[in-house]
Amino acid sequence: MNYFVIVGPKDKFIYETYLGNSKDTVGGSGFPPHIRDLLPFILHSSLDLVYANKWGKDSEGLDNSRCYLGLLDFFFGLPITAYVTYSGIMFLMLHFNNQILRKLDTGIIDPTSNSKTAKQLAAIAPRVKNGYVEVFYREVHELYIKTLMNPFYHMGDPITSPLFSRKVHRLSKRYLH
Amino acid sequence: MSQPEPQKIIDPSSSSHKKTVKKLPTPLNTNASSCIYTQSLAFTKNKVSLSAMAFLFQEMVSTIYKNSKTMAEFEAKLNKHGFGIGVRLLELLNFRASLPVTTNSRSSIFPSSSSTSAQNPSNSTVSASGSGAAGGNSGSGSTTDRHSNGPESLTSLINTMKRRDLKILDILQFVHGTVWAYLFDHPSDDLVKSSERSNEYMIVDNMPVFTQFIPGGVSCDFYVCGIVQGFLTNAGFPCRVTPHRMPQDGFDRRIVYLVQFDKQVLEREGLRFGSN
Repeated sequence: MNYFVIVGPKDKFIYETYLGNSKDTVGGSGFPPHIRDLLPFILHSSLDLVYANKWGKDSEGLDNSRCYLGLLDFFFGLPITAYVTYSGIMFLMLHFNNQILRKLDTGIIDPTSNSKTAKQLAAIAPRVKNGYVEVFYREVHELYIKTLMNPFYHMGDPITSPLFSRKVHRLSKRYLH
Repeated sequence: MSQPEPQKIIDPSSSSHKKTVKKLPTPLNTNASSCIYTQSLAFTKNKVSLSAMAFLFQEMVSTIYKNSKTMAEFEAKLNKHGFGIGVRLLELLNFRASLPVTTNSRSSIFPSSSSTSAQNPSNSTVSASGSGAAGGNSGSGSTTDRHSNGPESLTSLINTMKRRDLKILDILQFVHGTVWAYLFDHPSDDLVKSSERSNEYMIVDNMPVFTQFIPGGVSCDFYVCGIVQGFLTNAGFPCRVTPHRMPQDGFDRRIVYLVQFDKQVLEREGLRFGSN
């Protein structure tokens, strides 16, 4: 279960979805409500890091000009990955796994309460498989370009096509689960 | 298509027109969107005839001209039309540049070399089979499983994505080479840095394609300026682009596209690559 967004110009979300392998991805019903409402804020807060990274340098002092920015940030131990397209559109994803969701749901862990939860969450946080995640992002990038090729679509408009959504979910099934 | 016609004959009033408008969305939605997502982004050698292009361009220019009060407004509007194309080219051409050289997409960049012409027959068969498969898929209705292997998704062919261009020179080289080759079939004739002002660069075109049949000033070249501006601005290099006619060496329609980057671009460049 992951939360995926596409961030357009002026930091507007132009697409958001819950990616999972079951029916509870519809409307994010697989997430406990108090977590679900937090998700956009969590990803918004890591936008600063995306900006710093997309013009920054990597650990060897070279240009960080790759599209895939990789594992970028943690929210109480939950990994956040990011990808930047050539026109500065950003893809962000917050990674969950079932174990964490169960604990969040039953209230064993509450990320809004204190810092102790960070350690608890980090212990069971999903490992990000960079290879698969990167390919997933590339595929979505290609879909985004196809959307952009539509002369009636303007850059920064929300992406509302159900077909786009279906394809993204199919990709997530192939690469993220 | 056959249904609305008899209606028109019986009653060509606004009500029947409304009916056809209402009817359209459902079939259009499914067809159009599925077309968009099943089409391959790979380069296919579909050229538009110059006369058709010139005709469309002339229509666009005259429509905008009629709707503009001042010359500045006309130029701004034309610029805006090009801007949207620049945005799309930025994503599309960079993505295509990520594909390995052996696939057909690369041949779009420098069509002058002899090897590409030898490749072309195979390219066309590849793309033809691709579109055929896509058509078959949409016909049968179950498009789900063939996506990844078919030409519809090019991502599987990519080993490493092309890096984003973060330097002024890199991005201008891309415009000078790839973008020009895509638009006009040849790289631009020159790329010059201004010796007087550090934020000014010039892209030179000896024979502007779009405006070659339009006499007079350079106002219509604001369209190409818009393309370049849309490309650079969205890549993170906000700038202004203006056309200037500078005849030279027998090319009396020679156009210089003057690119003036915003201050912030130079400041950033100075911070990131200070030693240069």
